[in-house]
Amino acid sequence: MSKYRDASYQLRLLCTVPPSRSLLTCSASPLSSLMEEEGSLVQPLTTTCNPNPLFQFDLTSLSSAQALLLNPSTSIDTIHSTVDSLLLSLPHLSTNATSLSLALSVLAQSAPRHPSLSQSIVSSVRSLINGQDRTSSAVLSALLSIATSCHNEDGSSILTSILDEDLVLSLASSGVYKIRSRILRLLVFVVGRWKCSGKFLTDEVMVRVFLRFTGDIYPILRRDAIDGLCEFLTVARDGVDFCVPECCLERAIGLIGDDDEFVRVAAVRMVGLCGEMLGEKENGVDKIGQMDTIFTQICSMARDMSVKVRIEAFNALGKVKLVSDAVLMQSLSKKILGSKNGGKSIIKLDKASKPCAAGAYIHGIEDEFYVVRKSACRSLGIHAVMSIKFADDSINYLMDLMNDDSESVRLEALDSLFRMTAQGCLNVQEKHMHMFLGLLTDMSSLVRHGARKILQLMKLPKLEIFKSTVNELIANLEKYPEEEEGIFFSLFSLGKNHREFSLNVAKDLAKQIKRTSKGDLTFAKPSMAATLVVCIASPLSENENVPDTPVVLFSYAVPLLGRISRALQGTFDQHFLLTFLLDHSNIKWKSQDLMPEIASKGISEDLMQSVIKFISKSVGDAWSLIKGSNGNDAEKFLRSCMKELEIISLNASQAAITTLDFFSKYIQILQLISKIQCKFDSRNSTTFHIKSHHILLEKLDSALRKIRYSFTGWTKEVECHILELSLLVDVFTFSLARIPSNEHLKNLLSKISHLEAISCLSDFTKEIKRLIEERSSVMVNLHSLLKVFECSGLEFVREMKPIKAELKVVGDDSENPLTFVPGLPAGIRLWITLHNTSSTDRLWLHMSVRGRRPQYVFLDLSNFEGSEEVRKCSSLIPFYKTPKIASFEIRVCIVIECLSEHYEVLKERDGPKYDVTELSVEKLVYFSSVKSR
Amino acid sequence: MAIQCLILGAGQEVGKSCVVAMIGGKKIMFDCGMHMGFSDHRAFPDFSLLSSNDISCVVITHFHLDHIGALPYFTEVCGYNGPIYMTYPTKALAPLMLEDYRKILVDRRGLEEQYTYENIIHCMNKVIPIDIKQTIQVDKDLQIRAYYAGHVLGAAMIYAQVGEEKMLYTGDYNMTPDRHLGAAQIDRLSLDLLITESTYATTVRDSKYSREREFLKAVHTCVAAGGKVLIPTFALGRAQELCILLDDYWERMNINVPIYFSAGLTIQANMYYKMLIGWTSQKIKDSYTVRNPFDFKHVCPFERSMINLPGPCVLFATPGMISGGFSLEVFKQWAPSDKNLIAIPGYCVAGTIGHKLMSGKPTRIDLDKDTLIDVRCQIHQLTFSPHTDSKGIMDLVEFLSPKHVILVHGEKPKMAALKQRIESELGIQCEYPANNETVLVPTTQSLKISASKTFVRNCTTELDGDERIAEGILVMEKGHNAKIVSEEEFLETIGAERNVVSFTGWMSPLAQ
Repeated sequence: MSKYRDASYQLRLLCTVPPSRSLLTCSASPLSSLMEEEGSLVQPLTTTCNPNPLFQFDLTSLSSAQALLLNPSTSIDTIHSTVDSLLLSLPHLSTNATSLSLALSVLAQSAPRHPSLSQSIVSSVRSLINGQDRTSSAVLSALLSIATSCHNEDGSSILTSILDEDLVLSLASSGVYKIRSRILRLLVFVVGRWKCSGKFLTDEVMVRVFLRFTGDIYPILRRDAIDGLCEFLTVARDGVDFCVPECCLERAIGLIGDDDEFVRVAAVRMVGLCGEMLGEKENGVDKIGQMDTIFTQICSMARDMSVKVRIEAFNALGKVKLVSDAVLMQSLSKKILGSKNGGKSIIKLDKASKPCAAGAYIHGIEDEFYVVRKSACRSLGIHAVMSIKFADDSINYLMDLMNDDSESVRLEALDSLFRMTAQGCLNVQEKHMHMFLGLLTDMSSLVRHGARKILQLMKLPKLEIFKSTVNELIANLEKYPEEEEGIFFSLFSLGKNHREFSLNVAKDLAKQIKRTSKGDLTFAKPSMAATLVVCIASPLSENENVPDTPVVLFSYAVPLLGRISRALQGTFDQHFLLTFLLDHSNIKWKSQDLMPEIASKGISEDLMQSVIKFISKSVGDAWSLIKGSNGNDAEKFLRSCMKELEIISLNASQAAITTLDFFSKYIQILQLISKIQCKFDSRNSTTFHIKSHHILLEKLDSALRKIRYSFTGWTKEVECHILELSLLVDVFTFSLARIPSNEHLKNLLSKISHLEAISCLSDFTKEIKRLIEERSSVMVNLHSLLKVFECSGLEFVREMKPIKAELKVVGDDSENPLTFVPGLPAGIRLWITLHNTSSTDRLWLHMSVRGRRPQYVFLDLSNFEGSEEVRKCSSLIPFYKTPKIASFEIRVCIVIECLSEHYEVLKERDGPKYDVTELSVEKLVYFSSVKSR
Repeated sequence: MAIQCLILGAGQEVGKSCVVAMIGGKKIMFDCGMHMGFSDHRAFPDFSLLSSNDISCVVITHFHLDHIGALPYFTEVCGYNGPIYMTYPTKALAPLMLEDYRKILVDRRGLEEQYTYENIIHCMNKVIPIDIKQTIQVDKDLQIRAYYAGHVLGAAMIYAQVGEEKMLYTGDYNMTPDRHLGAAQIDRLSLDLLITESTYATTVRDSKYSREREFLKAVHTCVAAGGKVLIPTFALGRAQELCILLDDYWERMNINVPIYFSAGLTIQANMYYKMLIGWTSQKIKDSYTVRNPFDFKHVCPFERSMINLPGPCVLFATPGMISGGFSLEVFKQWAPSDKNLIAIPGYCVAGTIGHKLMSGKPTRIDLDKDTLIDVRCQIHQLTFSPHTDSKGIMDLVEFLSPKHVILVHGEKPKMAALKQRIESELGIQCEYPANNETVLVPTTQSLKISASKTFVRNCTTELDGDERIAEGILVMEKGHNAKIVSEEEFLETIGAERNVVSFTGWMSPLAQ
């Protein structure tokens, strides 16, 4: 801004010089001096001065005029007067070419800023156009810059208004390079907007002028002329007679051997364009012969020394259609092909043209520059789609290009292959597959994606190839598990496209399942999931193969629903998929178990509920595995359940997430129980590691605490179940201790009485009660106890709310730690949000430095704002025991005291009296000492 | 006027390239090589045919011994004292090659050396390095310029011009790029004479991709089965190209088998490649911004003691063609196992073991009268070659369209076939002289003609349709420059008047 102000200020200063003499009478007077009182002092120049050869502009006045015209704050009147003065003085300047061209350039510069003046400027300079060579070239360049700066069609209509045929022809045949070059550029400009403005030349004359310029001695004019012709052909595409492209073609072919690189580039482009147009037009000529000639001509440029020419040549090759097979095949072979294989069908080519085409594409894909290779690859793909014979040969080269060192070339080749596959002209052979399947484990994800895209459409000839493809996709999955969705979709398409092969694979898989004992199969193994996708693809998509596909596969696919449906998003509705799988599996189910009609996209609430229900059922099934002492199987099963939950929770609503979260915590507990049970089993035979049992039991205990205190809104059944679980833990502890303490016994009994109180006594509880009353060893009866344990409460998991807390530390991160003075308390500003806490809950802030005792701060809920659902508070919490070191970090989290735990342990003098469980994620707070700053 | 060409070497043979061309009165020696197949006087060109003081300059195209091997002899023993030109990489690498060969000759074979180490150093000190497309004014009349030739690092084609006479000596070149070098590049020059190599005068090679695929497959299957792969190469060129290829493949396929470079020259050569990155292909130059492509990830140096270590490996050993030295030593150890693979890249001179292996699979090789080697290993022959094929030669000749072509550096029958093609397909006169023959190539001479102003004006104004035809009269007088004048001017000078004769014809309509 200030710069701008300075400039306008300077101008004003210039303007304040009092007017003394008329602008043109004296070379010494600055033009600006005339502009002091804008407009009024600017006299029409001709009135005050004679056409005196002595007067002339000096540079200062011109530059002042320029400054005035370019300054955005100059008033309209001043601009008009300035322009008028300049225009009026132009005829007098015609003797001084330098001044004239400067004046013209000033005018040309001002035109785009003041479009209203363009017309008047243009009409006044028109008269000068026929003057001296230098004058007319200056006028033309001014016209060009005015025209190009105009918006839309204005530019060409301005030119149309002053140019006519005679003028153009006389200028075009001028002996002066500058004039020729400028009129040519004007014509190129106009021809680009040919349709939207009146014509001052007929099409024919225009083409003739351009053609004439293609023979100019200056390469730059030849190039511009070709560009003009190309422009003309593109604009008037359908409107031109076919002899125009023919004529252009002839000239372009003559120019492709030009010495100048840019002329060759333009000429090759024009040959391609003409070839394209002639290919589209019906003209009774032997079209294939003509196209062959064009094709071979362009092929001869594939060996040009200039990279630009080569790129253009391959682009142009892609445009020429209807080329005969013989010529196309020749372009793939460096050796001259004999006509022995063609017989009559091969069109006779003139002797010279065939060697030209020889190996053009080979040279292209071997080129040093990847841009050329890319372009060659693209045009190779275009022709391959159109000729089957050519496609069969070119696939060798496209597949070989998979070994190229440039990724973009590989991608282009993949793209070409994809188009060929889509058109059904990709005829893969065994020798290609090794190289191609290698792409599935390529380093670049784009390449892998491209390869899979092709596989989705590919038709594989043999079962072995099919199997190796599936294996390679599985290898892809194992190496890059994040691409599971894409890989599953490819497998699905592959299975769909090869019904017989996939049936074969399905039968193999079913046999394999049969051989292994029940529950031994691991769903966690990605290869299993992948193979299942292949097997169910064709029954699912076309309802074919259904009777042949072994039933067991469908039931095995059910737990993979989440993963499969994610991969098939957009193809199949998840609900449909589930119904289909259940229908064909040997799982017994009632349709009302799953919600009836859902049509909405994504995972609806109802569907979610049914999925949850299904999971809760599967979890129930896991119990039977645990009870049956199948610890390993149970563990694998639970792990895959966990995975499913993770995937489903990605799409779940807030309410469902709570339930899913509950389940994942529950499954963790089951995993621990299963582990402990394994240990107990092994304890009988081998030495027993009491420590590891205690660790596991401790874990289980804290997991149970967590599940009990992380949710609220239990139903009676669920509460009973959780209590029973904790009873189970006690039983484990009890049996481990051999001689149980009274403490334990008291604890057990109190839990049982609690269960009695809510009148929820299961067989399990009764059995324990009986055992305790009989004073017999629980240990001995552990197995029988487990057998009576039932998992029933989970069906009632509904309407739960999570108890949780969020912590936010204000103004701290590892880059900018908080400061502290060692030994003195430090404050931490915290934002705390609590969800679903009741006023009776006792919450603490737990702060710990590594290797030191933690510090607890009691959170008084009365200081919080909000309701039970959400409470919020921001407070400054002191941390007292800052260590005497330069920097440290504190782990902060919110914990809840587990009040219903019946034995009281004094944990900390100033801390919670009961066991605690975490409600929030642990946050790190960084501190650095004031001194170290 | 004519260009006089004396073929001192590589005439109808491969080896000791040396051509002396007299162009516009200046004698230029292109290359000064030695023949690797001989160790007597036939190894060097016959320098007695010229006097070393006549030569205006010596230009070396690249560092291969068959192009530079005789240079120290020529300068230090024959006493040539004029300028010597070669590209920067050639200047850097040539002394290594020369010294290496001299050592082998003296230390291993116990032959008499033709020049000493000091000779090499002294000779190289006289060398003037040149850059690609740099024009050197050797003296008032003679200009030379180097163009990129591919082939090996620093290889160049040499363009020479005296007045209006122009010629190009290609040296060895490659028209297809490989993994580390670009393709030959040249401008359109209107040449009087083109001297081109013709190693593969009749071979048309298919796509390099299939060759690469076959090579990789062979090597991969061998190491996967626990075999060892021996690749005998010369230190510079193929070794780097194949190594880039293998290193890339190893990376992509995640293979852990070690690739070894036999120590010494090859390691040193890699260092030069790292420094002279500007002379490599576009791709290498591009990737150089990220990392130096010659810092191979999977390559480690090889120790002699590792020859018999168990487990698969790939070894690049010098010299190529298994003509002796370390590669022969390894070959002796590895050849008897059928698990192993010998991959021979490129051309082998007759008489070497490489040549024997390539021409039909022998079961045993008699090294000398005491040593027999059982050959049970697999042999993979690679057609990787840094020379252009016949299509490439034809393309270059067609692109340059010179008035005459001379073929050197090839085998006689193949050269004859190529000559035939050049003459019939391109209509260019072609010859392939034998060693020590002289060929005279006529050149056209152009004459400067001044034009009168009137004539020029007429040229620009008298336009006839699309064609520009200007009519004038060429006046050549003794003691004056030739001049072209318009008709009127001519009449004025000779003081004659214009007379117009017109004919009127009459034809009877009945005369049909």
